[in-house]
Amino acid sequence: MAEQKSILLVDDDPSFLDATSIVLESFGYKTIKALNPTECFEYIEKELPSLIVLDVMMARLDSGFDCCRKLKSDDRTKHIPILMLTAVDKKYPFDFGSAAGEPDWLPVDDFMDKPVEAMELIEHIEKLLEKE
Amino acid sequence: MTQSTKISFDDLYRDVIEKGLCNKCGACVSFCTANQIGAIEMCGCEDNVPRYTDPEKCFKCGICYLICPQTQELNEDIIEEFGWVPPYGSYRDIVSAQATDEKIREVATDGGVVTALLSCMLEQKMIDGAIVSKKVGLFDRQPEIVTSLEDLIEAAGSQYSEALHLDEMGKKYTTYVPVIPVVRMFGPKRAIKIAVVGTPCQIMAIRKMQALNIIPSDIIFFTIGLFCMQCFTFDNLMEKSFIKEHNINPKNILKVNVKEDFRLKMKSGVTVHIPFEEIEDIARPACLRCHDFSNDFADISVGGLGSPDGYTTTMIRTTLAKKVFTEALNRNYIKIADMTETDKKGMLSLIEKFVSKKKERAERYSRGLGLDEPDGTPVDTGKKKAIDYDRTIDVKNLCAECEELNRHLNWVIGFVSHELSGTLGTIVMNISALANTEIAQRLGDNKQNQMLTGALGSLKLMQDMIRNYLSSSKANSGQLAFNPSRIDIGKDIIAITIKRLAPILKIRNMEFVCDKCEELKVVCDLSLVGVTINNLINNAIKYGSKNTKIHASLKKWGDGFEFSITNEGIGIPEDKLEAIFDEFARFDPLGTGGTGLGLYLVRKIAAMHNGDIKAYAGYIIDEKYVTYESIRESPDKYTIDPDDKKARKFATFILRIAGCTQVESGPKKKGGNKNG
Repeated sequence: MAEQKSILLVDDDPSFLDATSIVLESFGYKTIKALNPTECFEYIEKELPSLIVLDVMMARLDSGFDCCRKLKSDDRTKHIPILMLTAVDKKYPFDFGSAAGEPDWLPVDDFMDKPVEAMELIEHIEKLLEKE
Repeated sequence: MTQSTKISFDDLYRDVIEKGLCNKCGACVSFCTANQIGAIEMCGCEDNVPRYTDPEKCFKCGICYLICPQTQELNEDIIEEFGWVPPYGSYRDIVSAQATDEKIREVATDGGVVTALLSCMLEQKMIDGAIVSKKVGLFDRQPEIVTSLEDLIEAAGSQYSEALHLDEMGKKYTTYVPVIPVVRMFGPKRAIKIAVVGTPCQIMAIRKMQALNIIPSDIIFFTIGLFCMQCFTFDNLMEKSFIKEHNINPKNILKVNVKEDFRLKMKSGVTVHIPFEEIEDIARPACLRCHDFSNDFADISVGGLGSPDGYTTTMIRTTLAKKVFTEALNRNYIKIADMTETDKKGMLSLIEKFVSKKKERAERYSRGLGLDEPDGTPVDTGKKKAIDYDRTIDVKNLCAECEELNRHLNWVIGFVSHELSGTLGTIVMNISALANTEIAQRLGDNKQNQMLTGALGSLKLMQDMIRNYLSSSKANSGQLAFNPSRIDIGKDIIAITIKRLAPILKIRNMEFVCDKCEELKVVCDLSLVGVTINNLINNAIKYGSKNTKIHASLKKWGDGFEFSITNEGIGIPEDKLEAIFDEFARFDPLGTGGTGLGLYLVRKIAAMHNGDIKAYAGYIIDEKYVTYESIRESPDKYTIDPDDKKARKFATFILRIAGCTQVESGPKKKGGNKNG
């Protein structure tokens, strides 16, 4: 029996976390919800997830950026795929799509622009986990 | 200055425009537009004078009036700042000069000093651009921003330097080119420096704008003023009898020049000299009232008067002008004619003659119209409009305030769009999952129902957010309608609100318990009080912990009621108990989203009902709700570790609404409880 993959969802909107976790769990993933980077790192201290879905704007505008840089610079966590998911580019003229993957700027493995549809999210997650 | 007068565009219209005295410099419109006030515009009609676009947008700041070259309110300030002395203002030196570049001299009216100076400033990076009048097509001239020597040369020289079509030229040609409105084209790029070439009225308007430190004059680094007797239109010139007498065909005019007289240089080599008196009657009324011939408030004033052909008479007035001129001289952009002091006195004497001529004409014209004396010489302060100078000082900061408001507006737009798109994200996630057959099948009935409820809850949140934004906007502009009626608070408001918010309560697995939320009839505004109760309950759900109870109570308070609501959740830090009622205030460690306006509106509406809203918070200790205040008062009784993440916190809001004494039955009232 294949090991159940776990997905750590980091987003400051509890309703979004609830909705996303229902969808992911229906595909057999275990989900862990974190409302901010602190909760994210608290979980990671205990257990490493198979993948992290990360929002950008949380307590601070750039919380997600700091969070992904920290994760990717730590030998223990740098292999965990990060899917960045945010509506931040509605407010700022950054091209996150093309910047995703740049080690110094946006060291994430994939990027999706909110609002995102459920199946699209599943497809992106599956692709990232296949690479693993 | 005996009494305060609030001046506005209405005054400008009455004192200047209606009397036909508008210079059409566009300063008033430039200020109004550059600062995004947008109350006035150039009409675009035949006269092209300013007019209201929307009187409602007018701040009545009076700046349009103050900066008009035809008004006198700021003249003393300008005169003092520039150390103006009669008859032609202060100056450091006067020379006859010419451009060293032959290409410039070929196209120049006189010695090409204006083009050479601008060229020097551009190439030496002293300025980023210059606003000059430039030929467009064969005969029309328009103000334009130039940033290169090529453009400068193209713009230089006489308006008659090419073959003309009289009929079309008559429609378009005027010796006056409105350069000031172009300054505003630089828009938000405030870190640039430009030079402007203009007539005395244009330079005066710029100086007035600079005296008030208002946008867009802040980017004007250098001014070059043209000697000016008057401006006129080509149509009027061609109707003059001397045109026929001298058999002048406009197609054969090579150059126009203003020296001791008005000169038309023909292609044949003949120069027709026309005394200014001959063309006085075609001058614009604004010019007939102007004193300033020698452009007394420019950094450098230039003209042909007093210099030999091919040279420009140049009055170097300010320290900056001295620096620029010396730079141009040292870098060989210009050269000066050998002149003795006697030569200079001769030039000054000639200029003084023309200054007197224009001044006498202005005085004659003003007397004829029964007007106050125009500007240019020390003014009779007794005739000045009584201005609220405190107000004038305030308006000096108006631009900064406008920029701050714009920044705030952009922030608000960003805030609103982010909050709405966050909620939209949840809705899309829920609905897209339900709409996808594969996902829907995997979810099963129970989860499908949960997602549908989630979507509905988010939609209701979004609906509340939009309503709060709209209500806040109305409240801030005093447009919240106040319509009291007798209502049952429990039945008409609380029960309906709970029904609305049921999906959100369900998602969070929370229970709403109301003590005595039964019949209590009060005269108040149903929809406004509905907003307060809705926002308080919504708040309690959003910031409450899952699987907890929200406790509410309703009781009579005078003729009105008191509604109290308590939740267990993230609480409120003690130092935020007041700040949470500020507009766009956010204390949101959960990041649950929201408008930042909910509690702000509750306080506004409570005040409209002569009531109030207060917040209390603290810790739940042994099932008792203990406020910060109580903990502080009994430190021995309660031991709290602020870093204890498991400590249970609560927040309580107490809303008091005073009832109206009677139901209003007339037209809708705005802004408050008239019975209170």
